[in-house]
Amino acid sequence: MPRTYSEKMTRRAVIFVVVTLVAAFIAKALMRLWGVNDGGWIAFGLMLSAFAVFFVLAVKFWQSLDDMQRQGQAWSWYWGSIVSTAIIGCWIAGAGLGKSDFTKGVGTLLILQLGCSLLLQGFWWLKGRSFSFWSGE
Amino acid sequence: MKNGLRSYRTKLGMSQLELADAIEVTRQSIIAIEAEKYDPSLPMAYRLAAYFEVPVETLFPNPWR
Repeated sequence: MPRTYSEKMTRRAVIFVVVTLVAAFIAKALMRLWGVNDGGWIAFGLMLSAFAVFFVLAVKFWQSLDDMQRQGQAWSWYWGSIVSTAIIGCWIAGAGLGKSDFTKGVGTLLILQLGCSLLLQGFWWLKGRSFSFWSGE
Repeated sequence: MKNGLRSYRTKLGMSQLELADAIEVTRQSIIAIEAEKYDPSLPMAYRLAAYFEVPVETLFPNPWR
């Protein structure tokens, strides 16, 4: 059993990754068992279940972080996303993949990430106002 | 931000890891605060001050006062 806070954090991170991977493997195994190879409602349901597990673990993991670690996560995700976007943009331009399916996939991902970020940022501002926007204050 | 965390910790004969575990933060947070590379949040500053049983401003002197 972990004794120190750091050991607890390491244990939580390992559980987070392992449980997510196990959920994904079970989902894939079930799809094979049921003969579902690509897409459809069963795949959608399994994916949704796997992400529900991932989300619950992510919330628990985030709540257990101290504020410096949270800043570290936010900082690395922010700058990591910007740098990776720049790399992929240069890659697409350099390799002449402008109209490929790959670029469509990247574009879809970026648009959804940006959309969700803007949505959460809006939620963040409202939260900072204690949702007084809604109460008319 | 300047702080007296290292001197209070060493006065009690504690290691950075022991202090980190006592207030449930990572050792990296203690290292960064002591090195004045990271300013803790207000709740963490209060938690540290409560642990050493001193006012917050004793641990984190107010440079604007």
